[in-house]
Amino acid sequence: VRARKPHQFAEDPDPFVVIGLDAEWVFESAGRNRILSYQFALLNGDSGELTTLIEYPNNGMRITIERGLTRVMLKARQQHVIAKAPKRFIVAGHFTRADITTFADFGCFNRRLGAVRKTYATTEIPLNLRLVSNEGPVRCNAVIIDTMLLAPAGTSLEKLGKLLGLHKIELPDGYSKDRMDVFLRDHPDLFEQYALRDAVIPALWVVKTYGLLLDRLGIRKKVVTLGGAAVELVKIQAKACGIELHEFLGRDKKRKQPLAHLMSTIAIAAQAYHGGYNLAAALGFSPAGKDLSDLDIRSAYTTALSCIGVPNWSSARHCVELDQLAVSSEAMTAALVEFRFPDGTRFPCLPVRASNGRGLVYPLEGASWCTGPNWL
Amino acid sequence: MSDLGFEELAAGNYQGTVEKVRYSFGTTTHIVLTYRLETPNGARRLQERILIDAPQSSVSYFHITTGLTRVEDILRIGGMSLADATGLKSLPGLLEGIAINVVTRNQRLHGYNCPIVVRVEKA
Repeated sequence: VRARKPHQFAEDPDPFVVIGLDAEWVFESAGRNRILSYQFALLNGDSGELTTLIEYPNNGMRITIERGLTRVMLKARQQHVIAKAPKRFIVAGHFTRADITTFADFGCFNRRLGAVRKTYATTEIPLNLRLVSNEGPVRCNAVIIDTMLLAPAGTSLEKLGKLLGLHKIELPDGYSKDRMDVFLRDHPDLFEQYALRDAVIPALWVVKTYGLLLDRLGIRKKVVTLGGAAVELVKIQAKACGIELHEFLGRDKKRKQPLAHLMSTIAIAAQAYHGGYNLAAALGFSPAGKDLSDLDIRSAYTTALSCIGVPNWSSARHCVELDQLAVSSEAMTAALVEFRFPDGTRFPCLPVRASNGRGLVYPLEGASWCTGPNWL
Repeated sequence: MSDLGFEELAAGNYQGTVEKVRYSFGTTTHIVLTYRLETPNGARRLQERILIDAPQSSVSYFHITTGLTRVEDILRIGGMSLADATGLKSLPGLLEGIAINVVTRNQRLHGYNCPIVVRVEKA
């Protein structure tokens, strides 16, 4: 998406450039892998043109991310995929934790990366890089994105490739991912095809995802996760409905924090947040020959949440009267309660966090952080 | 020329002109000066991106002197001064087309001899 030119003499806007990234390596010794190749795929999202580059390190010497990106930019300009080095672009990989750590200068930029769902992405400030061009050094900002975060959890690169119509190249019989050096030695051409495909897929996936987010949902922001896209969508919907989101969420617009008088009540509400509860009650192994049903209501969360009105944050207060707390539609309530179910209760429903992160348990007796509807 | 189309430029003094002046706006404002140099291998472009405006609270605030000095140098070569510029919009018209000598050197960057502008002189 091209930015509007804010000034008569402002620089021409950059094309939407995504650089797919991948690396192949082989285990060398404990704690050390030998890099076989780095692959880059530069995709001009505006024109759809693509250029690929594979870099073989000399004697296993790792390259810096700036050198790799410089070289792919030079190649892209040589092939007229881009007219100049863009000042802002996206670097995409699938499971960046494995690939981006292979660069020699990872230690220099790792503090700019955020850890999101056990992988790396730039969540706040992009990487500030200095690349080489024929016109001199160019300062660029690179946003690191992991396609694992832009796809349903656990989606493999192979599956993304299939969805894009690009099938992942299979290793021939007798070769394995553990010994890619043998594959490179025996089939260098096929190795190159195999390796480059893994860089092309993330680039295409990012462009496709952002295209869909813009076309279908009107989201312009280059979000790092699908959850981020959901947040943007809420913001767009709130704006369309004339809802001031900070006011709606009980936040101070200037400080971007919860309103001062809500601090203590929000802490209680956060403790009482446990997620949904559905169960298929049976003890031990499933009874032979008997069907067990686990009901999962479609869109249950969104339907339930749509019943919540606009909270009146100014009337938020502490109270301990059970008749005021045990309500559903009259108020949003949450409390720490000590409880005991009658003897013989088969399915106690108040959640208690088990020790050592073992999740939630539902005992007959105990203390539970829970909400008003739990007590009805 | 390297395998990827990178052309080295020997350090030296080249006749040239200020071809294009553009700005990059953000929290700070950079001026992007494109020089057209006449080299033995033909015309070649070099680009400089220098800070010319920043809020006083910015850590880069003192760097604006570098940008303003470069602009002032080019204006002086063209027989003008900073006082002739009435704002950012007037600068491109004043700077573009001025004939200058550009002194360059090379900086080793990511395995390349990357040309950079050292200073500009009267042609």
